[in-house]
Amino acid sequence: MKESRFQEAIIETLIEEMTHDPRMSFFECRSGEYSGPLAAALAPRFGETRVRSIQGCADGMSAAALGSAIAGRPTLLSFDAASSFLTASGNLLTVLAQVNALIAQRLQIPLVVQIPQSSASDLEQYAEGVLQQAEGLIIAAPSRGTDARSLLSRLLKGSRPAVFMQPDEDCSSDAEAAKEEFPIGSARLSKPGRDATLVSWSSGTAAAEEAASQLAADGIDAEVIDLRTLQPLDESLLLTSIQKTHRVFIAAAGPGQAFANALSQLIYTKAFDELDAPVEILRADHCGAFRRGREYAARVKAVLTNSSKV
Amino acid sequence: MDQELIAKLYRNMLLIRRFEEELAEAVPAKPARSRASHKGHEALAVGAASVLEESDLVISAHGGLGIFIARCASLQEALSAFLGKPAGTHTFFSPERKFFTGLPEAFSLPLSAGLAAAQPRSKDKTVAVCFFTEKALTSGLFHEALILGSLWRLPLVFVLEHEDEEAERDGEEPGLAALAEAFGFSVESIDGRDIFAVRAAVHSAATRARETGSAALVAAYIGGAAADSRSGTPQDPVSSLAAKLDGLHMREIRERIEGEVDREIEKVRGLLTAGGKHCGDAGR
Repeated sequence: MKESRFQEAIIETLIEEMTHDPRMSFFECRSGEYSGPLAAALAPRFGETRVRSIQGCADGMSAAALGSAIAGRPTLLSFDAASSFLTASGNLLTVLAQVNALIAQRLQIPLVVQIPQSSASDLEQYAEGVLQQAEGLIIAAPSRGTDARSLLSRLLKGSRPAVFMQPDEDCSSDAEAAKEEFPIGSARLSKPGRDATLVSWSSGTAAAEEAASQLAADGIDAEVIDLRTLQPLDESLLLTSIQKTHRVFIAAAGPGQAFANALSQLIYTKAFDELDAPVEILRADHCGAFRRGREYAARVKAVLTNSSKV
Repeated sequence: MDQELIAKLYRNMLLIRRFEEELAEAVPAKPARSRASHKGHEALAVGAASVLEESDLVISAHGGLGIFIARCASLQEALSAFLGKPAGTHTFFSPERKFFTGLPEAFSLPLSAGLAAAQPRSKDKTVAVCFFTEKALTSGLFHEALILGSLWRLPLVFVLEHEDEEAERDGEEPGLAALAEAFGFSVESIDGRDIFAVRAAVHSAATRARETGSAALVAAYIGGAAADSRSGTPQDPVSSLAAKLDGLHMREIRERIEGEVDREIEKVRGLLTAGGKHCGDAGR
């Protein structure tokens, strides 16, 4: 299972980091009665003073985790549902911004908030749009287990508050990927191409990769970029790609378009002259990388065919 | 009674009172002044600070200046923090001094729980003490903080500064006490203007928290709307301690302290008229 490989990567990284740094703490805010897989794996190893899990109390847990981080303990705050994070995010993001302002650059806040990218698929609430409001917050949205490993371990060792989004479906394949070290804010060129740039992150990447392989069958050579972090954003890889392909498609994972809109605004501002067609935000009604990818491919093909007629 | 201790307590209370009066006059802007007008709380700030260990964490949910001075800072430092230097912020937030403030009031309560949870479990445990006002009582965050404090058995002391005269007359606030006790908090209601009552209550709450890891709530009445805490009235914590000093034949010491405080305040006035220009460096 691809999905469990991602989860596995997170658990292994946490065990490694918590073993390495005895101060590191884990807070779980769970929606159900029982602990999730992370807390279940960590609690027997590290005990109840380092692994704290509670049902509900999303606001209180967020505040407590921030307190723990301010006290100097690298702290991972884990939500098993995007919706409980979203209810607590108002308080948490407001306070993080205040703390940032209060202490300027002097204080370290090693807090990593780990959330699923979306809530239950029938509600489709995505966190990207909300997170974007928090200046200075690192937003990691990897698509592969191997990148998750590297990012999570860096974030936990860092001194800045961060959110780590976990794709909720169809991870980009990393069966053969070797562990790669990369700086925070560096995107990955998943597949090089000449005809169009597909920008993606988190669970959108698997669909974009699927779309690219279906387009290849039609003779369209699409480039796929996996952003890995939404903030900071790897503008240079993005702009280099646009200079080559002159066409951009943003594979937004769900209907939460705020980040995709901001991204297209950025592209218009920085690369307007390079564009042969408007930036297109891809949406899909389906779940699953294959079906999503097929919809994306159809849309990309239609746009490219139409614009070449003009 | 230990004369030296009483003299020190009086000095700190008077220093805070005079400093805040000076600031309120010099900084007329309302938002800034609200932080400096905690008149009547001096006994609580100085009393609590005098029985806490240096390693203990103090969280001022309401952004009170008094507890910052009582806890750790010189007036110059308090002034530079108040005037927003360095870093252009109005804050006394200072992890190095184990002093945390400036965040939304109710949020500070569960934050304190997290700070307490982060302390190493050693023999001489660190206690987190959070000062807040009744404004936070209606927030869900207060209740979540009670849950975390009791569930995790945290070395945590909540100190409520309230102006609820009715609760004071009845001896305690029954609803609040029952609520906190239901969560396993020990609760004590005191007159927060009586520095000796404050010392006794905070000391026993902190000791219990330190030794058994059980959380506590101290509900301290500080006078209705600060009206009866005006200088000179018998309810005013500063004047009443001054009277106590006289009763203990310490009038000379009292006058000497007042002279010293005058000179300190004079310096602050000088800095304020200089536009606080020199304070920036003092805070670094």
